[in-house]
Amino acid sequence: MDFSESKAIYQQIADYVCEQVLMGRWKENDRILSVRELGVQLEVNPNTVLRSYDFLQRYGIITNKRGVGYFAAEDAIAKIKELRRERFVNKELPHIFQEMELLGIGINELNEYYNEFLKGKKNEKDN
Amino acid sequence: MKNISFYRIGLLFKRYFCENWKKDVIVAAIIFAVEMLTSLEQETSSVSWFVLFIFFILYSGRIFGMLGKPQKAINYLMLPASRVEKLTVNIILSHFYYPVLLIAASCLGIWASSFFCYFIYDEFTFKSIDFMGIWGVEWYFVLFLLLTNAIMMFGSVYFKKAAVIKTLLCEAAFFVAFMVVFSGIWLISLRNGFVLRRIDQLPAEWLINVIVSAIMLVEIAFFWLLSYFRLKETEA
Amino acid sequence: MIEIKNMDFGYVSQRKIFDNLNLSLEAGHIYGLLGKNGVGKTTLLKIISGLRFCNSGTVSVLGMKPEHRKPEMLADIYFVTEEMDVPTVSVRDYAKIYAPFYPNFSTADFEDYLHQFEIVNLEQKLTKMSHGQKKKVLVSFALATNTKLLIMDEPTNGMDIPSKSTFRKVVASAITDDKTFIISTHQVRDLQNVIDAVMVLDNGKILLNADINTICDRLTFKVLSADEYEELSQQGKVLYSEDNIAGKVAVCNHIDDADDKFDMELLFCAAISSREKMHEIFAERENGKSRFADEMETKLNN
Repeated sequence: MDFSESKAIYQQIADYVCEQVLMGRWKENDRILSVRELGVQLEVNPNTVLRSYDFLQRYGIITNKRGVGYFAAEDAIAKIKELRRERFVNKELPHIFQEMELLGIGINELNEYYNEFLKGKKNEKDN
Repeated sequence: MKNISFYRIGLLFKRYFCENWKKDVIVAAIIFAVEMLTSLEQETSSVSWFVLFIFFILYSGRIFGMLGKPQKAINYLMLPASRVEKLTVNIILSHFYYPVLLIAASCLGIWASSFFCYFIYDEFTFKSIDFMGIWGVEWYFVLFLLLTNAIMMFGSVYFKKAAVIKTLLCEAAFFVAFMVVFSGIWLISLRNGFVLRRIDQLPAEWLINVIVSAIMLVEIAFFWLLSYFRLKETEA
Repeated sequence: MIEIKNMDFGYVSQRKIFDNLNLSLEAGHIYGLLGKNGVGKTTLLKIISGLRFCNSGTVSVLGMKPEHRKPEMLADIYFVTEEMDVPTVSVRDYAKIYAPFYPNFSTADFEDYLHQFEIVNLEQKLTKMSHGQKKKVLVSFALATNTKLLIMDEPTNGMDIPSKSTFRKVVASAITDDKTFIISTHQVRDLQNVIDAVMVLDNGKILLNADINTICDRLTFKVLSADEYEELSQQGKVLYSEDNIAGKVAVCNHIDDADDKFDMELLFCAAISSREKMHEIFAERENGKSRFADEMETKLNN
């Protein structure tokens, strides 16, 4: 994992966990790696991993069963999408809007690009 | 945990032997070989006691030389054992184990040579180390040896480089200074007729012996104590 | 775990290296000890391990005075020095000789760490090994002793690139909530992610001692646009900044809603370039403990 991007390490670890669940490598309801195991795998301090797990737990993406370990929640994927959606709307969209304002791109123009994107995707599928 | 644990003392011995047995075997082998070869033609031991003593004294220096290099000192001081344990092990190694090793090696050398003589000359003459020589060694010589040993140990602990030479020089300087002071006192008292007047009142010979021995023993203890304090000191 | 109060130290009494130094370290953390060359990082580590004695003040390690060098204290401290002096024995014999001194030593751990560091020939003499290899053996041994306090002075010096990654793995796997690791280093980038608390030694004192969560609560590490920079520096909130391709990389007082990005190198530069502000920000450290710190300590057990 590359830690150089501009997010806090604990955030990046949380993203990593979400990614594993979304990709289906870690299944919903299954036990996930312990704090220490993930710390070793990613070469980070277990305390940092704990902070990530804490964060994920607060969003209901993972659950902690005392004495057993951490599990991916049964609706983890839905929760992750919800979290990402929230982050996209609150953090990434403002950036995009700012850039649009700067470059003079209107919402209609954006719509065109979006339709083009969808068309491209459909073509890809058909082929 | 108490200050003295036989388990840890055992570990310190184990550490010493695991790390140094090769050096000791080499020294023993050299003495064995020299004794054997030189006593083929002679009746008794040829390697003089003097040589063995030199080995013995240098050895004490080597034991405490563990504190010589800063890095070695850190390793030694950080070893989980108390100072008393470390000192005990060092005393046993330098005062019992090593003399026994040296004497055993030279004994074996001489015995081996009498065995070879049997093959060469076809007559068996049992040769052995002159044990009476050991028992006959002057009491003062033993004390002197122990004192030199203690001073060597002290020196090897305090000097970082060329500890042996520096210690010998210091020792020589110490004795010269001692002689100067002593002869000064002697001369002054001679001039005052002090000694002459008192010569008939000198105490008995055994008393002088006791006093001088006591002084030497105190000095030995003194240098050992200084070496012990070095273990309490900082790493460099 | 470690309490140092009003400690003074100087090799020559005229020039003090530490002047009224105070430091308190807790178990369960990997502390990074940072400082410029010659500020006395190694000396501080030596005082903690009882190899040097302070001139005044009190030092308490594991509830004992380190200068007494009691065997029970020494059995719970391991010090990996920067330079090493090894005996002429094989790796296997080294463990046989020295492991029994440490009651919690685990041979299985030792072999596992060596395996991870790719030291396979246990019959090889330590004296025949390169500096980096020796270090790997000693670090493996040190971690396997499972002592409560493990001090490492520049442990990654001389290690090759894959070994640095292995180093991070083994350290992350060895820390538990009853142990304290102190790692002194200049190789901040090597160790940034395994260290979870930072001590900065400067000018005879501890300039900063805080866990990373607290640091992120109080400081923001951010790439600033020219406008943002202008605005923040007028408010006196920029502690330190340097130019890079993306703009100005700055350390400022905490900005709400900013990402909790952390950069140890920047933190260090900020600390030594604006000491007073740093001091102010972290002054009431005791009551303003990170909101996660407490929860974490209990949870690390699981």
